[in-house]
Amino acid sequence: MFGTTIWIFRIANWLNWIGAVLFTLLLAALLLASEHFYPAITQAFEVRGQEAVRAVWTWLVSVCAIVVPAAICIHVIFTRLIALLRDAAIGQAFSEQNARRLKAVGWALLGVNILDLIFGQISVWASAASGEYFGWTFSLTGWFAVLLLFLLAKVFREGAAMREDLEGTV
Amino acid sequence: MPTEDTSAIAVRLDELLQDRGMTLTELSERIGLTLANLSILKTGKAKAIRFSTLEAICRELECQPGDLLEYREDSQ
Repeated sequence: MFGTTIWIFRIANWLNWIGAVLFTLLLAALLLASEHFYPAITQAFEVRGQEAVRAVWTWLVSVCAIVVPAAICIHVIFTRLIALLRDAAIGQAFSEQNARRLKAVGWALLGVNILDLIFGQISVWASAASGEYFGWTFSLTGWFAVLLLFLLAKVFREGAAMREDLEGTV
Repeated sequence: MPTEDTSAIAVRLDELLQDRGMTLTELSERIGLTLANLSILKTGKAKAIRFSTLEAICRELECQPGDLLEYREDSQ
């Protein structure tokens, strides 16, 4: 079970980086050849007027720019979880190091949540400016997950201390 | 949580074994504790001792818990 999950996370992380590279290329194209994108934007989003097209373009650029820091956060989440699962597979889940890993996952998820908020703000603004609806809804789930991860890190720290005591008991 | 490397509680297992002419391996077989765990106890690296372990050692070595454990003030 651990082995399969580790592989799923590994593949997910590769996809994460492939996505990040593709979005970076798109970002470069959007910035270097913006005038080529304007007709395509007019067609794809059915928006009229220079300002509306400009708003859609800005939204696209912002989304691409957000993807890179998000990919870094997601990389931290996946790599730490993989390391934690590897330890769990050999019965060494409760350690000080894994408590730190969970904390790192918590911080990374907080980063993702903040980026999601920024994305939401840009979407709301772009929707208003262009007349095209860029879907985004606020969700508390991610914020609760951050809290849960920090608490879980504390639990792991307690577990590590208990384990250490138990190992010294004869 | 502060960790203490040196404990004032000394384990006198070595002396007891010597007096009774018993080896650590023999004792470990008699009380059903692994040699590794018994070594931890002997070298004073143990953090805690179970009553069941204490009971078994006292039974096999025919001694009192006070014979096995000693409080040394100077080692702190």
